[in-house]
Amino acid sequence: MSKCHLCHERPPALKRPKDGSFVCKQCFLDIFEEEVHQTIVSNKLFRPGMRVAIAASGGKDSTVLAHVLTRLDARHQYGVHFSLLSIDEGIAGYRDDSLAAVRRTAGLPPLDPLGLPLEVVSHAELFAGWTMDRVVQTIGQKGNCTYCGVFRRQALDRGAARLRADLIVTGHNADDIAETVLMNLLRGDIARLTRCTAIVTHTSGSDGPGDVPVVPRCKPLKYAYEKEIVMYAFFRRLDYVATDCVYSPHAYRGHARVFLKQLETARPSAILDIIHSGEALTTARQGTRLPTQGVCSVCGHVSSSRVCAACQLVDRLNTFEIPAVMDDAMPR
Amino acid sequence: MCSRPEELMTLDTHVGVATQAQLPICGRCKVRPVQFRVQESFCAECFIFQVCLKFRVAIGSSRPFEGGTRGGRLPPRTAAPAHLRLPSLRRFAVAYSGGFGSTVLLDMLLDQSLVALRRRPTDSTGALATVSPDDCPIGLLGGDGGNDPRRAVRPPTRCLVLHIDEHASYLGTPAAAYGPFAVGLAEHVARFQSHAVFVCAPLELVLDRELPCEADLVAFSQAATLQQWYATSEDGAIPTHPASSRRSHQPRMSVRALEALAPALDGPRTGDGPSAVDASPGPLGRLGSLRAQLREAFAACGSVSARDDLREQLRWLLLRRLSRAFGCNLLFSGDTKTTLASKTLSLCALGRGFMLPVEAGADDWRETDFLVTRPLRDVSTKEACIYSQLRGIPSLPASLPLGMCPAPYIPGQGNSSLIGLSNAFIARLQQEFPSTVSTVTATALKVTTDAEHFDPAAGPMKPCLLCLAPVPEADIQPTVGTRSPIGALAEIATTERLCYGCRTLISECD
Repeated sequence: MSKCHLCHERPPALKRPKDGSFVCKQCFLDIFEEEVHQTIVSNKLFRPGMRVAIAASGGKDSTVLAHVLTRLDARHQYGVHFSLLSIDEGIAGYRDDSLAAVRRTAGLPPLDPLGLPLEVVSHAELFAGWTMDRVVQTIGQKGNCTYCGVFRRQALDRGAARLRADLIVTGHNADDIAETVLMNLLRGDIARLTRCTAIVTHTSGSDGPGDVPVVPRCKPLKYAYEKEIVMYAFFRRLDYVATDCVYSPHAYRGHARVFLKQLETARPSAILDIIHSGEALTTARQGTRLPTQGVCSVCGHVSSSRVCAACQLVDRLNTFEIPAVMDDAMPR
Repeated sequence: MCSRPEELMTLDTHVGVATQAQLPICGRCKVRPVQFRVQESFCAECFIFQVCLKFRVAIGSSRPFEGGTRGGRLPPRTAAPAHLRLPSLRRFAVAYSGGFGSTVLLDMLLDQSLVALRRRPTDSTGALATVSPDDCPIGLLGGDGGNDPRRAVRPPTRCLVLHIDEHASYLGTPAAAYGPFAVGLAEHVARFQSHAVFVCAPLELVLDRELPCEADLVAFSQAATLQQWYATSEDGAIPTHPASSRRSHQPRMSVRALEALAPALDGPRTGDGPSAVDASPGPLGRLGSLRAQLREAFAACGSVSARDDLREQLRWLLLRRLSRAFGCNLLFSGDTKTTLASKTLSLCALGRGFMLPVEAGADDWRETDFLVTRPLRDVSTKEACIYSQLRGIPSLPASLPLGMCPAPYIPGQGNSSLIGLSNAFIARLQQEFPSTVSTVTATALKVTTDAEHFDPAAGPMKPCLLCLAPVPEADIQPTVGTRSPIGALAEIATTERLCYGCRTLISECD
């Protein structure tokens, strides 16, 4: 293994977790970007003139995503307009640092790396002042991921509406999607299981009072391993925040994550194999009850019930009634 | 191979008899005191009845045979694929690994004393209600042309109890270590000799295009014969090729692995008849060389995961071939709810999610004239273990050589397999979230893929050469042969007839 497997010139700098090949730094950067480009092209994610909002949390995935998309756009001329969209959940000591990293990525003074417009949407402004710190203070350490996830998803739609975006791109990587497949299997969430591996998730628009258009989302990093994203960020010397959410240790997803890491140790291709398996599970058996999509009667957002989950959660928080049914720690 | 479910490591399986004054009354019979709790509180008799009831309900929901409608009172099975052609039950086989699931399955299928449990015991003395000896649990399979199913299904010949001896695929397990386990199985099945015939088939037989005739194999599987054979069997040179966990950066067909497996992949699939007795040694006479070939194939596997997966595929290939060759069109599998939950996760991890509804569901319809069914899919391994204790069935898994159990994950050691990790994970999660197993198995029953509509006679999907699973068009990729193979290998290398999971498996072979 004295030479890179791709260029056969330079000495290898790393072993790719995906296929075990030994590649040099430059070849790794090139092939990583090329694979993302192939994902974009083969799935026809972009079209000229689109406004694309990059969901940026300041973490490694979204930071790498923003940099890769900017470089690919310059190289292949996608003809799209990128902007950064960040959600402030209101977690002191965690979100502050990551938002600062997003601002540096966007190019706010004093640095100017990407020069992208940045829109920050906060939970406090959208959900009657309910930041995650306040939510955890009210309900405790269990079940808070449910609130954060529901609020953040709707906040992304609202932020994208402000940017007049046609598409939201998120930094979900192969590890995230494999974890989601496992988690949905363990929790019996058939509806999510049949769509969680889709690279583009569409949700229909809506008509009605307080109408909020729902923007499609895609995952260009769907086949990128988390380890390779870390290596890319390291080689490119990208500025990101690497800390975990302070409220995440009790999340059910943690069990799936630990299991996935063990599987990856036994067979590195297990992550892509799980995604491949999840892609095959695209339909539910006839007669299985699945939620039907409608519109929230309060805010107009897409919802599988009369009142959307976000409005229900806000209502419960306001009345200090926290039922156990939304406990994120227990499988349904 | 049969599993050692990790959840049983912490299970307090002591089932004692408590006095009525100390424990509450069983919620089912309202007569006897509670003896233990498994989701509900049971006395011993009601527990046995409850487990048998789950088995009977699962059997009854299959009804794969035409006319199996209980005299027209029940609708035919709606989930059976349209191309399925099972006119009647010829003979059935039981896949018997010696684990808790298959042991309980055997007991339920063949022990006629269980017939008496058709009614819930209500006698305060605990006496079981008596019923006609003509009643048979097997009758729930359905009849021929709508006749009384209780009398319609009485197999004309004894059912086949099939055990696959896999010790040769575990490179560190000598025959002498496996012998006591195999002999124990033979002696256990001998209890049902009026209803069942025991066959112990070495896994290496899958590599031979010719199968031994039933008479030869039955004679070979007698306890005394097995004892002598394992005691005198020479293992020969065990390959020392180090199993490498490295994967080539370019997935390729391993010609070495294919050469070892070619007879299994190219052998006759349907209508295997008994071999003609001729002067040359039959398959049983060639076991030594077959075992060497099998060990070569497993030594070529690049990881423990690949070995476990290959073992699983070859086992089921041999079970199907033997069952069909000996006149069976129905095979019972003792997969419990717990093993199916583990299987669901391991299938996904192995890239075999396309086959999830078939391999982790109620029935396996991948062949139109042969059915594999899982009547214990609603019974957990814990329940099966307690059932075994209450019924006084000897604990056979205890005699299984340790090296033959899927290795649990041990940090820092490279001996974990995807199947072993899935087993350990489910057991661990079930302790923390008691509904995990039920949820996962219910999820596997609710999702479906195009595999369920697979008809081998109609295109475009064709069966995988190794596991017989349908290969969807999207999964067909050109395979890369490293050099020009001969005979069966040419077919494998150029027809691309391997499913995603088997292609991943073969590419891990050195």
